Amino acid sequence: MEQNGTRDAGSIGVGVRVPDHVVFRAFPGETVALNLQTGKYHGLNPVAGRMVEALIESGEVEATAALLAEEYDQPRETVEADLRHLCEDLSRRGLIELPADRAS
Amino acid sequence: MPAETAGARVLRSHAFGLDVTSEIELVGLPATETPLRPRAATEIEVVAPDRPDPGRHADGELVRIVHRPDGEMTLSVHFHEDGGYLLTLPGVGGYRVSPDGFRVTCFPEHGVSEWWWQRALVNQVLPLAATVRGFEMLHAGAVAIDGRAIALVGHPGAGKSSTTLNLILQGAAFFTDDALAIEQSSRDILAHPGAGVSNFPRTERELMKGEAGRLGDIVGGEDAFKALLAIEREPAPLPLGALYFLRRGQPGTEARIERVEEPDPTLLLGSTYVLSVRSPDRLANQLDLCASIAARVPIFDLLIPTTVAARDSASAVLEHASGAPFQVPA
Repeated sequence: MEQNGTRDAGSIGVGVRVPDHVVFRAFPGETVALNLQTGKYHGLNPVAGRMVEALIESGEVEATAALLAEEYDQPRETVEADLRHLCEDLSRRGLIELPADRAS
Repeated sequence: MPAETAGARVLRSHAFGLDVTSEIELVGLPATETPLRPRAATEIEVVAPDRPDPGRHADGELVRIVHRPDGEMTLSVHFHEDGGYLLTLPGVGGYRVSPDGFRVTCFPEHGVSEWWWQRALVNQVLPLAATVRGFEMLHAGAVAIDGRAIALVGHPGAGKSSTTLNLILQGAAFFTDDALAIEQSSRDILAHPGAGVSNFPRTERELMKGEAGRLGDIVGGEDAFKALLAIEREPAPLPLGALYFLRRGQPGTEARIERVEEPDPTLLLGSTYVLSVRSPDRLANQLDLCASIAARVPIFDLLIPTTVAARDSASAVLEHASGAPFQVPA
């Protein structure tokens, strides 16, 4: 499923979740993710923060992309591609778990 | 109000959100009749001048060490899961805080004066115990104005103590000097008064001249830069009304107070006080409270040129805070 260190975007699908040792908190201009195991903080800009918030609520990339495409008045395909890219990045940093992470 | 338990006189007081008990009178911790909360108090025990047995801390983790510019170590903090925190201040003493924060044991070094080791107790040790007990600490001085705690945050030397003391001379009530305990209640972000003592910069005391006596009494001796001032404090917790970030500008720059609409999270996280407690619970609580403050408490950038006296910056804060908006309800 992995090609050149990146996960095949089609595998992300449903069941995205935040591990117990990670907390996301929204600040007025930024969302902060904290990994409680490492003590490391990660900053997300407002758009990425909104993506994560919606993703946590639905747990599904496709449904989240549809919602955000409407919110931001952008083509759904573009939003979904950005969302999958963000998911891969957050997963690589251990800030979210994708279904494929739990299967491995 | 002294209470009697099993023949020993026990003094009850509070600071940084903690009810505390002690068998001896402690500077800045006046006896109170009513506990803050029904929870058990943190017990402060003083062991006759001695060095603490490192015990489990010999295997503990060094979580913080502070050196002077000349390289001499001034503070170390070791943590052991079962033994808790051991703070060592060479020339002052050792302090052990139990893993749950309910017990503080002080080991003053032989010959050290009471006010000196008690200053470390209220400046360093009790804030750490309060953090372990679930309060968050901001590195801030604070006063009470119109039923709200007004916090002054800033780097060392930015003028927190001087501005706080001048605010008191101008009618505000003293709340805390260097560490502000906060917690989230169902309605408010609550601030808790610290100990009734303040560092008193020597330069500020000279500027105040005769007025300094109105603030309180100097306790014990003093070092080259500061004395310790015993000062009457606001007795009860108050909603956190506003946060002012003090910055010193170059001479010639214009003094200004500006609302910070989108505070940088790192600015708030970097303004917390106790760096030694890194448990997952504390880190999560710290982030939670910083996010709540950013969302609900008015935050202001206060730029004061170095040529402006603390008396004048205090006047500006007093005037501004008296008209500042209240905390946004939860």
